Amino acid sequence: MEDLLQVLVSGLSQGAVYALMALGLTFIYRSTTVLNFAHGENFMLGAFVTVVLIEGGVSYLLAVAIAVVALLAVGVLIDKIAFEPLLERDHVTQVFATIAVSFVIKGLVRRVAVDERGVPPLLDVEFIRVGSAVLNPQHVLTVLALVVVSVFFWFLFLRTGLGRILRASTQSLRGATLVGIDVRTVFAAMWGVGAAVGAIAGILAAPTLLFSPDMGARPLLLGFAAMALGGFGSFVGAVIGGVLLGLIQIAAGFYISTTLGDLSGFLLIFLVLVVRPEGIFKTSESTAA
Amino acid sequence: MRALLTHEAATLAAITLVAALGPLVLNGYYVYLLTIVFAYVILAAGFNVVLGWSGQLAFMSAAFFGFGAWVSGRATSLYGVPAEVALVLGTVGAAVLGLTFGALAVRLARYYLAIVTLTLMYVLDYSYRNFAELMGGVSGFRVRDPRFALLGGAQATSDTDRYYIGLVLAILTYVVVRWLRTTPTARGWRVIRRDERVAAALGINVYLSRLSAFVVSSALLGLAGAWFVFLNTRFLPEAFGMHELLFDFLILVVGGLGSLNGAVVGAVLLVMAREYLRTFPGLSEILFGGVLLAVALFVPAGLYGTVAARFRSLRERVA
Repeated sequence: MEDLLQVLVSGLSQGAVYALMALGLTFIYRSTTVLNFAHGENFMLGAFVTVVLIEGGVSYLLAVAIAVVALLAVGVLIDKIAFEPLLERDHVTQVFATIAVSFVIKGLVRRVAVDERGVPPLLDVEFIRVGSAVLNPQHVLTVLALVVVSVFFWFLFLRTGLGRILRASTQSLRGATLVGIDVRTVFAAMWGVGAAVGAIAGILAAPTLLFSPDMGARPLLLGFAAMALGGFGSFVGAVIGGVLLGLIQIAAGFYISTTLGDLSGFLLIFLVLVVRPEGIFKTSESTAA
Repeated sequence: MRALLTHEAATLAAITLVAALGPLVLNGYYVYLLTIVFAYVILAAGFNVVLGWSGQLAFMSAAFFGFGAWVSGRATSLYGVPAEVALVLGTVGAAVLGLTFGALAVRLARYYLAIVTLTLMYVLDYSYRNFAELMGGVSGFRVRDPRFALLGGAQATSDTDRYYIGLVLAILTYVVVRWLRTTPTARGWRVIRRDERVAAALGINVYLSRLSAFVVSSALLGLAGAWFVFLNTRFLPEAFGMHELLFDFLILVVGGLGSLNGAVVGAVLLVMAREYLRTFPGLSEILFGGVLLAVALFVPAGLYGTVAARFRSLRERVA
């Protein structure tokens, strides 16, 4: 029983990280139809900024807040430098531009931070006991963060005027332009928000990984997997797909074998894309890639 | 048309001749550098088929380059097969992987194909590292200098020997790919790149067309890897990951996506640049990323395409 609870919580927290990655990717994908291959660098930069600030004596919470805002700015910057000028160009060029951005960011970080380093956990508590089960507080926190972020965006999208504008532009750019929405501003906002959500994923996952300039590569691919699993371009699908992916990975690793646990995410991508390319949860809002 | 062909053949012959004189005039470091360049010419010519000509977003270069290297390295170091056999095995092995994997993968559109090919790269990387007995393990394995049956069982240990063998392989690849471009299959690739519905309406089997481009690229990438592993004398899993993939994109985009000559020029320029920048951590990434972005923003036709267009307009103005 305690096994089950532990597997559940660490699976959920792993899944929450993938879900946040997928969410960040989906913000950009839905508004611009570009798959952002530099999104792993948002993950990495979020962790990087936080670590640097903490090492400089800033309190953890303040460091996190600064990192998220900084990444918001980075996202807008990427939009202005590498996406907006290519608005009229084909997808391959746009994708290559995001790859170029990923290259540059990794290189810049590698220039300043040569060695890998550990990242302290957010809470000082060693573990949380629930009955006889021992839970990692970082895991619990990660799951809570996903819930908060999801509810926040759900509220923003469905309950505010700003959300109506954003939804309109993700449904039809032409239509949005016709009713007077400035789509360029919407793009910039979506790049910013996407990057910030990626940063949150990085900050939450960093204590269980080592910081390195390349740490974003694997979460990026698993973020793609979560998107594919839940139905490309669907916000709800991204969250469900991510959580499911995390649960399957941890459960397969715990109950069957570590090898299968490591590989299950990738095998799932094969399976989903080959058997059911539209995702397991095909929703009306998910779109073809 | 015939005049154009002979013009091209003459250019190719001239380049071959100059390249053949290379080791006589260049110092050892540049001879070594050019052996690497030749391997990348094969890689770039092969990758360009699927990405540039058929327009499929297949993120496959590092995976198949690595798989060819693994097959060839394993065959020579474990079973001591002659180098020629290892090259054929690497090529065929990659082609078979490309056929079985591609049969499922090429049905997927755009980003889905990108993701699933990336996944293959990660699964291969994981296998090399974690199934050590069969695959070699994290630190890979040593590849002994293989014997060449055609050279009477001699080993090609000197850079000069490798230079000439690599040159021959690169030129053979170039000629074959150049010939491929004139076939109906390649015309089909160009149509599906523009518009798959038009291609279907013209009676082109879109699936087979996509698959054939995928398999041709797999085979050539495999050949490049099978040869490259002999130059490296070691198979290292980390050499065939994300960095390699991005570097290969860069080669094609800088040269001009879809242009065979551009791919060759890109390979020459970037392999040299990479070797030069190797000692500065992070710097090559910044510069390569910057160049990739700058080319995407300002030089859509790639360097070769732009320069070639200048020359053409110049010649027309003179004539």
